[in-house]
Amino acid sequence: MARAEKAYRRLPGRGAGLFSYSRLWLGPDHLLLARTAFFSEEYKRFYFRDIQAVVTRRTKLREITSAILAVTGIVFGVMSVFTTSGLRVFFFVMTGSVLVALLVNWLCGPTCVCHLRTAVQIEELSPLKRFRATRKVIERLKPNIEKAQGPLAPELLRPKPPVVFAAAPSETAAQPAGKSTPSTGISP
Amino acid sequence: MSVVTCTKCGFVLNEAMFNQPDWSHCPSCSSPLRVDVFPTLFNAPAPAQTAQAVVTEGEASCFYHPSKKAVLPCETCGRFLCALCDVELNGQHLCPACLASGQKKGKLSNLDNRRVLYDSLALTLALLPLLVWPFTLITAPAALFVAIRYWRAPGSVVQRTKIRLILALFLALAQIVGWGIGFWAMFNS
Repeated sequence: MARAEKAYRRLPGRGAGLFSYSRLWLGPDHLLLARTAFFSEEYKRFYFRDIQAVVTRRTKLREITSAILAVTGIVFGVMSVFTTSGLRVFFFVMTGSVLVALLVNWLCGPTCVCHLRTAVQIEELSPLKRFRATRKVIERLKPNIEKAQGPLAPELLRPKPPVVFAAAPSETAAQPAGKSTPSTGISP
Repeated sequence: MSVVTCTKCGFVLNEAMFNQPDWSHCPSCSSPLRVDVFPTLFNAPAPAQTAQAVVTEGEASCFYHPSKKAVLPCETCGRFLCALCDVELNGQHLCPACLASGQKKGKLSNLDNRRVLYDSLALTLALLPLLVWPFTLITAPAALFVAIRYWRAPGSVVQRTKIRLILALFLALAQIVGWGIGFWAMFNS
């Protein structure tokens, strides 16, 4: 068992909640989502043979966070100019901290939400909040999934022509020649 | 074949959006999406296995369903199993009873969906009360107890060394020794 337990390799990305955090681990035949809260860890396993799709949706969280940080930085900057002595140092430090946070947020790249789909569930992969980390994870998952499921045939990805439903044959056409439609009893 | 939907609006996405090198946009809500699909998506769902009835008299039958034909033995207990009772896990074929007992005893780590991190608990008990040091009189023995009692308990499924437990042991012992010296000095003075 000890050997099996060492078979996990950590994947990029880390999701943080109020009192918990989550990480992704690459197992021998599955992807493990581990959520740690206080002194317990909960696991969800997604076996490579069951993974149908990974859907990544880009979000505007980075832009929103940057805007909030920029406004906060400007406010602190202005305060540091118009205050005196002791408070000035405090506002300078706060401005610097906010600017560092802004820079880090920008350098981390675009934000996204990533969902993993199997035949019976759609699960959000909460550790994958940044697109760069998401791509790295998908690139590491792909060979493992292909090993378990085989390669994807290119013809499967070709868009199928739209299905045109044939119009239901009219009552008149369906009837043999020589027979008239039943009269409604209303004469023109 | 299953369908892939937009994770924001639920719109069914078409094949033209699958495995594209760049962002595609949902036709309904215009959210930028990247959809990576795998062959299982296009497979028809496998038919459910049904147990076959015993064909002839004297033929091996399932331990749990005597009227059904046995297809293989359980790899743990050796009982004959029909297709219905056979549970495949990590390449092993187990009967439901062995599966349940294996999960209960923690032998099948792949079935564990929750574990208590005793190492983190012991370390927290040894470290955190240092902020309000008089509490260490209670928490140090508690940390020592947790570290010793759960030394062999299965920890996290993912890699973790015993460093937390070792640190907790040392810290708890140091605190207990400190209290001992303190009390000794107090009574001697």
